[in-house]
Amino acid sequence: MEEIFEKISQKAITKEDLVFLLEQLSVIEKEIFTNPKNLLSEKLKGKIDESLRKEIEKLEKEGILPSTPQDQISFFKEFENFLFKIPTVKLEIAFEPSNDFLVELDKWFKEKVKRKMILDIEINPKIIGGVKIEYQGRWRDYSLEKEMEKFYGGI
Amino acid sequence: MVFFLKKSKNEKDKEISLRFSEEFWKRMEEMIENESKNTVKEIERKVIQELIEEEKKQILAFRQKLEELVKEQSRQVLAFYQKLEEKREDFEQVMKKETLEFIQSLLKEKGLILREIKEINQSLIKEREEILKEIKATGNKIIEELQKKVFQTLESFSESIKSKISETQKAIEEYKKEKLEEIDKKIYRMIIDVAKKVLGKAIDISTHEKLVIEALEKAKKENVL
Repeated sequence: MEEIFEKISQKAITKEDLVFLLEQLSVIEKEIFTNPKNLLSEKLKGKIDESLRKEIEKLEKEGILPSTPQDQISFFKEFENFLFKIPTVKLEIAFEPSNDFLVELDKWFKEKVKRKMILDIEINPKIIGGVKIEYQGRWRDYSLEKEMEKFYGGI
Repeated sequence: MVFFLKKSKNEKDKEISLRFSEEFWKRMEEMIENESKNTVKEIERKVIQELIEEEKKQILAFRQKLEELVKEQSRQVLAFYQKLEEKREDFEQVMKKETLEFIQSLLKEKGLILREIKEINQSLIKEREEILKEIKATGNKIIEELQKKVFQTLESFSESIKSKISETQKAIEEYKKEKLEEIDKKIYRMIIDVAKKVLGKAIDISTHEKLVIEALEKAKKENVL
């Protein structure tokens, strides 16, 4: 089940993406009990992000999404719990990151740290370049600002 | 009255009974009553007259006695006044005599007191002159001592002023040094800020991305991630 959840949540890279996904889930949970004869993916048309709706449609076709409303609720609750357990890493950087770069970062964490991370990005031009990292109570400054302070401080 | 006379005359011969009218009796009673009233009034008047006469005599006698008594009293009062006047004159003479004697003794006392006051004044003048001499002498001593102390204080002041000047000069030097250091720091800060701005603008996005990835690699090596 975790693989399925990972797949659905792969587009949630940043903290904002995660919040958006959780909001979408609350909409889905509301729609589950309306018109029980219709498929959930049908009921969600125009109400949630289309890519997510297609993922749900795919799960219905593959028979992964339960058919009864009660089981569907349990499925999405489990998904919510999965999302809440994804660790967050805070990155303070000097520039506005592109989507490609965010995807690259997501990929880097999956490959190098061997797990999915939610990126909490803060933009601060004062750090000039590099990054300040905060993860699970640990904090480290790898910014150019710090390097410059070291350089001029030694004069 | 006529009726009774008649009756008594006739009684010798034979008794004659006469009848009188009621009106006769009434008039008779009224007449008797009036007669008796007049008689009583007359008696009263005479008694009162006699009493008044008697009272007059008594009042006259009493008055004569009273006049005699008043004359006697006046004689006694006059005698008393005469004695009183004699005593007053005696007392006045005694008082005059004693007052004169007292005044004379007072004058004597006054002369003595004046003499004493003069003596006291003279001794006070002497004492004042002596005190003035002492004050002058003491004042001169105090002035001399004060002058000495003022000189000493001034000397110590000048020394402390000198040391304070040198201390202040040192403090100024230190302050100058500190301020120069602060200025240096500010200059360095400005240089850093300028450099940051210049460098921040100079770095392109791909370099930024590369720097981030490099930093993440470093963090991985250092077990931050």
